[in-house]
Amino acid sequence: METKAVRIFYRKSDNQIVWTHTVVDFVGRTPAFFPTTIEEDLAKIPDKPKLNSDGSIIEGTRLGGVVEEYDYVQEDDSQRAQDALDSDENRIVNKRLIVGRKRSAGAR
Amino acid sequence: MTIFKNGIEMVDAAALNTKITTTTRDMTAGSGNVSYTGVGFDPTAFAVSALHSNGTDGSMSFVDSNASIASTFSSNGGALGGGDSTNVAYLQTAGSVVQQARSPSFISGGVTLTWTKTGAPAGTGYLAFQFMR
Repeated sequence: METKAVRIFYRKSDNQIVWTHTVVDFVGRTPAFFPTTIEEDLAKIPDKPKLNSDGSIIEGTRLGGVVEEYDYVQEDDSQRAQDALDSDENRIVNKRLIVGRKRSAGAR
Repeated sequence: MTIFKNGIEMVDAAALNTKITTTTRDMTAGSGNVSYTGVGFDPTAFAVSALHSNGTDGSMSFVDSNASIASTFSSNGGALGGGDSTNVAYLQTAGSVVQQARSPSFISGGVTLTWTKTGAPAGTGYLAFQFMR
């Protein structure tokens, strides 16, 4: 039986999930690690605005060029990870997963 | 490491390995990375076949030790579709309704794939990996 852990990245303005990183372990252990950093995962987000070094926007978002902030929750328990992925299709419900593991992913 | 037995060069079995394992892809899942771990060794190449029970397309791919996709062949309604060097897995349930995995990268004990969902596919995709070292 495989087990899962998950990071869910969401846009703070509307809680829309914009990226997930799931770790599947084939032999049923609790996945021990995420092979990528938060920053590496953030770099994958498709609609993340790109900024010049001075912070000005090179390429805006679909929300009209507003610099969006993202955050993430991480769940290392397999069932709760699956529940999180299943929750309300594309939204985080009541941010119920933010239990002691929430860290700021920083404004982007 | 080269091992000799009775003057005959032996293969270092510890450095060679293979494992076949299966998993699924929820066709409704959003785009994101999936890291497949627990292979039992650090793979340097793999093959993966991907099928959907109600799909029109499946695929078979080979990823070499440079994480390059050697080739992908996708079935298309019974006909063999063209190969490409981009998709590791291609699960299409209808035209422009697809889950596709790209950008393989080797990690400790497995591999990470980047999945992208197009349209609104449903059901379950089935994946069979053969990892090698």
